[in-house]
Amino acid sequence: MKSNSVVLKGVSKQFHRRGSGTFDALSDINLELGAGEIYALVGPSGCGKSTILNLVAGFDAPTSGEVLVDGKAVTKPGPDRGVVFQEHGLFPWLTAIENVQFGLDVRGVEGSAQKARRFLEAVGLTGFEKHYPRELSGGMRQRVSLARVLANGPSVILMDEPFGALDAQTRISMQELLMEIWAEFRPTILFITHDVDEAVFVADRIGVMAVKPGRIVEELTFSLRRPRTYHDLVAPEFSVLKEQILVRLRDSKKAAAVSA
Amino acid sequence: MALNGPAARMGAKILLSLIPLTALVIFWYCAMYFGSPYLRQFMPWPGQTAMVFFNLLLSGELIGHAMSSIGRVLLGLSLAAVVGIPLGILIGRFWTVRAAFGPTFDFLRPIPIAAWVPLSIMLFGIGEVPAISLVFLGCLYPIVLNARDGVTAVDPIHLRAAGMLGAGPMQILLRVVLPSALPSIITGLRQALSIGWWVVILAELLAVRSGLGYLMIHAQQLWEPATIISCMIAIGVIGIGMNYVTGVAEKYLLRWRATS
Repeated sequence: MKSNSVVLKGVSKQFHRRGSGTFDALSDINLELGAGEIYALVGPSGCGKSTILNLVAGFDAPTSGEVLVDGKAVTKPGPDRGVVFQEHGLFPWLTAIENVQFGLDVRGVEGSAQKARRFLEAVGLTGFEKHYPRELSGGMRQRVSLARVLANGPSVILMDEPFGALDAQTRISMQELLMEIWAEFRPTILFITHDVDEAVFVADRIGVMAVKPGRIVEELTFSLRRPRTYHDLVAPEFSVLKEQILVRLRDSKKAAAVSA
Repeated sequence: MALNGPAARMGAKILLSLIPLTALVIFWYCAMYFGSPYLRQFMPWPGQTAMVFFNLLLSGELIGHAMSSIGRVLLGLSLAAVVGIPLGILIGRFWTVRAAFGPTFDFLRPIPIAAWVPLSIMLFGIGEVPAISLVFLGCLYPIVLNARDGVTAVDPIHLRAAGMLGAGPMQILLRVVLPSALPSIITGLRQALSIGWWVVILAELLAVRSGLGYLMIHAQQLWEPATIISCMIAIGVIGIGMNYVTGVAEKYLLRWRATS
């Protein structure tokens, strides 16, 4: 039986606006991620996809509803939920390997240097252990970010537009790297993006979101072969799925424009 | 001869840097030569001054007094660092500490260190205690303020990253807040060193019977202007030396930052 690592039940989040009441960032979100699943949330900016990630990470608390990871309610950030930030998430005063060791060291894991080296190798950064983040390219920094999260062996990896700041070429190679990493470690991943191609490429399921209030308007499941490579992006099945998502996004945008 | 290449440029820099000092010595000669005879009665010629300087240097007198002064600065600075860095971090991190110490600090800070001299002599008499206390006080302000600023400027994403990697509050303080604030703390220590250096001379003019400041005021009483000028030269040279050493230390400690 497949266990669910991440469960959101009837989650809403309101933010207080300066001066004029509250607004609904998220309304009645229900979401379940099975172990080893990659779930992508796509949607326009302001739809609350990053808010969902922050709630699961424990950076923020829901106004109502429940957020469970491995059956336990989320109350604060913890090593069972690794986050890959969009950028600048690495500690600039630590070398690549020290960044990966950080999580192991604060939790008192033995042999952290050796473990960290292994995860740097997994993301293809052997030889760059002693480099500081400023000496690495944007793509390499995100590799380190991924390695330090993997090293902690989390129940779920939360990725907040992790490749959004990278150039197109690097983005593609990072997406392919993520697929390799998934094949090796089988982590559960919640992936936030506004790039439909990216969502289609990485995910098993995709939640399409809309704004005002932020909600999931459609969930698409698709079970195409893994490992995927970039050739699959031009396969007919992908195009069909991509069209579905684009139509859904456009519809929700129109609806928002009418209601506004 | 073209001015290119690092060696030529370095040579040019050294030559150019000598211009103002040479001009000053020439002006000194001219003033003595063409100026009022009264000037020649008490002011030494540059050459005589140089003789006095080297005599003081070779006899060990200058070095002995300089060591007393430097010792006081280092002791006062160390005490100020031990008190000031934790205080600044606590002020920056906890509003309660800020509320408790802020107003007192704001009230005391505009009082110049010189204004503390009379009271410190009355309280502690003539000796090491008033001198070191004054240095301590002068060093305390920049250390506390810079430590506070460093702590308040910690990137929130680094706090989040540490939390999701499993770091507890104390680990976050030591492994994230402290290294983030380090550039600012070092700036504070360097400012404190130069303030400490002028405070110690002031203190020695009035409150203690050794050190370069004392040597100067003693020379004034004995009508020995060449000794006074020698002390001034020593003070300047030591100041440059301190700045150089702390600059090298700063570069090493902050090697993870971009070299600008």
